[in-house]
Amino acid sequence: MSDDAEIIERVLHGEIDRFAELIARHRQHVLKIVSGHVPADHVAEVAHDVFVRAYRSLSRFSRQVPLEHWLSRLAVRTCYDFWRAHRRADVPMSTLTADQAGWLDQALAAESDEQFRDQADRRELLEVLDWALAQLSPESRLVLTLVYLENRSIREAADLLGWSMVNVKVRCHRARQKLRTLFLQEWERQHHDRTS
Amino acid sequence: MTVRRELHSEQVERFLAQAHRTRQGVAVGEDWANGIMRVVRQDAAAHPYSSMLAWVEPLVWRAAAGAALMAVVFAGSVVAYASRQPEPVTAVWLEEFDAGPPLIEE
Repeated sequence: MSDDAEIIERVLHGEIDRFAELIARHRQHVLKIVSGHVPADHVAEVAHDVFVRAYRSLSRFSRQVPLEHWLSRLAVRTCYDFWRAHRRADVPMSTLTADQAGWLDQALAAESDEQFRDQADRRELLEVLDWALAQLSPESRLVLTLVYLENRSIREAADLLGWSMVNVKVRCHRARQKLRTLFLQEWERQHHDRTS
Repeated sequence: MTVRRELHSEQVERFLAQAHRTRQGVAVGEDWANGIMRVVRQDAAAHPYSSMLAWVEPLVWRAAAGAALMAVVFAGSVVAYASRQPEPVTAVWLEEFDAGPPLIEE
């Protein structure tokens, strides 16, 4: 069975159909990365773009890193471009729905740790997460997802994004602050609405 | 209350990270892969020489890197040469360039 380098060589020498082998080998990896960054109904489309970009820049692939790693960078940067293009269009709600706000309210106002833990497995969690991420800039969103949600190191995130480690650290810190402020503002807004 | 809320906002973040990890992967079929290959074939047909000349691009980059290195070496040697001269190096060069006989005989 041919390795990636051999297939790339063949594709670059005109055996275009062999690119399908690279898709088959790496599609799960690319889909997994893309699923973590864009809404489920856009995953297939963004992953499609990743492979088309990979084909178009295949001659620039240095072979100094494994193809999977190179594809990871392409995938993350394609997700970033997706959010730059959809920044305003794909933010359907400016505030949380009643259920989601209720979850956040109970989680933040819980009087005991037991009460708080009861909120941990509620289905509203993912919806609140998506709402919060939608309020962030594409840069903050991406860096927060990589470092805090996926638990990647600063170095790894910097490598995937093509940014300096200092830039990643600063953006990460700001994004986290923004997220906390968002939760607390939303919680205070809900309380204000209820008391007035 | 505020301290507890601050503490809980940290825990909210942790729960959200856990929730993120539970996101379901998206399955794609053969149609999806065929769609990519359709675009790839169209690309290859539109730029038939791009694959054949794939070796040109790295060659150009290597040549550019080589030229940049030579420029640095040259600039370094000029600086080293200049630092060894008692006079400003431009004056030395002007003398060398003016070493020929004058164009108009007096």
